[in-house]
Amino acid sequence: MLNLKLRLGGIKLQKNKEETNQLKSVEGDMPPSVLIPLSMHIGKEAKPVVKVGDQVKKGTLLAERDGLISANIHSSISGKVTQLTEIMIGQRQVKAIKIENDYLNQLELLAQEETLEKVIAAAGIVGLGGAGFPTDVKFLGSTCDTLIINAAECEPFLTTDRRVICEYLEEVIAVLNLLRDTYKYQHITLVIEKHQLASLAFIKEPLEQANITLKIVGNHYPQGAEKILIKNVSQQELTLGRIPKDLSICLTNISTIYAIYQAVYKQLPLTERTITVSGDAIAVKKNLRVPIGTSVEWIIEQCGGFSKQPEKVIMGGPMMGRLLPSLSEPILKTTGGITCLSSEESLIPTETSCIKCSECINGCPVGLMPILISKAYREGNLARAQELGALNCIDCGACSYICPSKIDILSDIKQAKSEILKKIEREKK
Amino acid sequence: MSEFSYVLRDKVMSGPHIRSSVTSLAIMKQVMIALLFPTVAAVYFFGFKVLILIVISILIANLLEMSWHYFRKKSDQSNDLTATITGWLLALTLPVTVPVWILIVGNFLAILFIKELSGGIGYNLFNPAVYARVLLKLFFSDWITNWVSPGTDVVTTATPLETIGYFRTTLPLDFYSWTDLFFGFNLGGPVGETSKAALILAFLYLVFKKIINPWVPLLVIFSCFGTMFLYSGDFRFASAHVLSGALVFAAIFMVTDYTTTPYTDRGKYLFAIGCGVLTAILRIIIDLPGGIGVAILLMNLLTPIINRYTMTRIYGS
Ligand code: SF4
Ligand code: SF4
Repeated sequence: MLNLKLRLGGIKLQKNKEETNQLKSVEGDMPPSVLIPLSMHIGKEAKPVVKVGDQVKKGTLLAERDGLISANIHSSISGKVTQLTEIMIGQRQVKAIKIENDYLNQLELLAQEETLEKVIAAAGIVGLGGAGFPTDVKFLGSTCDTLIINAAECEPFLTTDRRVICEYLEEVIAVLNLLRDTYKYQHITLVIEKHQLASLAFIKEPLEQANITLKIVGNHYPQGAEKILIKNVSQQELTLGRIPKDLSICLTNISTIYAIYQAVYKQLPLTERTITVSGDAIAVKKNLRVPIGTSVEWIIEQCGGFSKQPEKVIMGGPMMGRLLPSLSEPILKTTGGITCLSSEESLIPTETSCIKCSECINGCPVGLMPILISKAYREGNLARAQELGALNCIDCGACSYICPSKIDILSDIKQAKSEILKKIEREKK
Repeated sequence: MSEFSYVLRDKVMSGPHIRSSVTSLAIMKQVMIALLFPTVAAVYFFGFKVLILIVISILIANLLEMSWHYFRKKSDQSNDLTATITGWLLALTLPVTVPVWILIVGNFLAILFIKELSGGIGYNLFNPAVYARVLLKLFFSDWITNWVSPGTDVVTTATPLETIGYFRTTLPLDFYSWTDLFFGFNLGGPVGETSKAALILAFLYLVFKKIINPWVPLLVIFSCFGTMFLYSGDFRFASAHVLSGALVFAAIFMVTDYTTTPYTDRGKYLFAIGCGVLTAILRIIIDLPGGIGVAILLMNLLTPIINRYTMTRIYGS
């Protein structure tokens, strides 16, 4: 019909990155204890291999991967296992191991492995961009010809990927060369957002020398979403239910690449990560290196506490992050930041009627008509919602953000999606 | 720890946790600011009475909407300014001699008949102001077509469009000067529509504030001009049509209406072209000005169909 070209919409939003962009990542004080969940990845929970009372070092294996899609979990501090418990992370209940810090800072290195995949698997590396897919599985027998490194951190407030580029470019390039040698990638592309270009000018030459393409994408949100990146880099689209591998593309986040460096060249398992602590309610904004399992509360303390009454403390960025019910939750492998917002910054006015301004339609990065799906859902017409492509929604929240009538479109679509999926399940049976 | 403590107030809700600062109300306010341009021009050319008429029309529109909400027990609805805009627009499409009862009838048709009976804002098929204007024209022509020239003496006159007439391909010899047509000097007609200069300022304002897509009004005007040019082969004749009548006013304030036009940009462009071409055709074959109003209503009818054929393409499909 009249719809040949997909316009990769996306929206403009306040990025709020200026303040942490230039902040070198620093280490905070060691927490007195850490609480390490046994599932910080997609797939099966890891099987604990320690028991209460055991002495562990930083890097000691706490739980072993269970099956193919799973990941090892290591202790992030040295100390004593004091508790095997269960905690809630979002809607999920997961096992967790509590370790009391003995402040001896003992370290246990990874054993030597024969293949790169085995090293990555042993180190418990998962996609640090947020999905948490075990990285070795992604590379396993990889026959893709393109490797895309995602450094287009499009979520507002978060700047950790950018810090990796600034602080560890050499290390990143070393890993990329290693990956190229191992998996025979024809193209390696590093993707950054346009607004970073000026301050990252120094990366051009080293990348060129290493034969890595630099791809610059627009400042629109959500440029860092997998599907959008693929479209931007390769002009190809992922049809529903297919994965990048089907297009001969392998996609990884830049922080993951750095974790691989640590494992391969330093024999360090994934036990710590850099997070951006930001938002207008935090006293001192920081890019902080923290042991995985550190509580959010401790981290906030490391940043001088709150400067304003916090209305929302979010695990991740404000667009796709998860609102924390309490500050006792631990940092996961996939946590990119903690965003603390005051009510001024995060107030959501009451919903008014849709004025059909089409902003949500123009902004949807995957070409949906969000308001129509929301309407169909509210009218109880699931079939229509499905027909309108509800299942293609990538949950980016651009529509809800941009809507002048403050309609929570994404929440409608999410509910529609889950009901559609349930219906499909039922029909299968 | 600091003196502030974190308490999660609402139930845990999904993202995004922030929203853009633009609200629907703010958009309506921008439209009202844009309406000031033709309003100031109207007061300049037709006197203070225009202002009184606009205020009365806005009051009536709001009164009608509020009583409807009260009557339907929707009294919790806060004012979204859309009734104000409708009343204002309607007043700008009428002559300075319009009797107040016409304003009442017009707003009644616009607010109650079209907007509220369809379910309120966002649900109406027809543009309320246009609909009311076209019906007024149809049934109360005598009271709303006594055009007067600007100035203190009330001299009844024809609008430029009436002097062109229908089924013509050339301009009459004594046709208005281009400056008069552009700025609105010595022109009779609906108070808000005579000064193209003021309308262009309003257009620029709305575009600058990102309230409307600039291509929509431009396409209305280009397609009307193009059709007239094809028909007459006369550049001046086609230009005169663009500068006469309600074309520019409607292209800026009515064809860009969110509710009654298609969702996607492609759809909006089709809608705009349809309006321009239909206006030209109606002006050629019918002995009445007001072609753009009828054209918009006809295109409003087509909006659902245009929507169906201009769906966005879904990623990966
Ligand atoms: S949340 Fe879904 S529907 Fe909304 S803009 Fe993003 S992809 Fe489109
Ligand atoms: S952005 Fe909001 S008001 Fe505009 S069309 Fe979408 S749902 Fe309606």
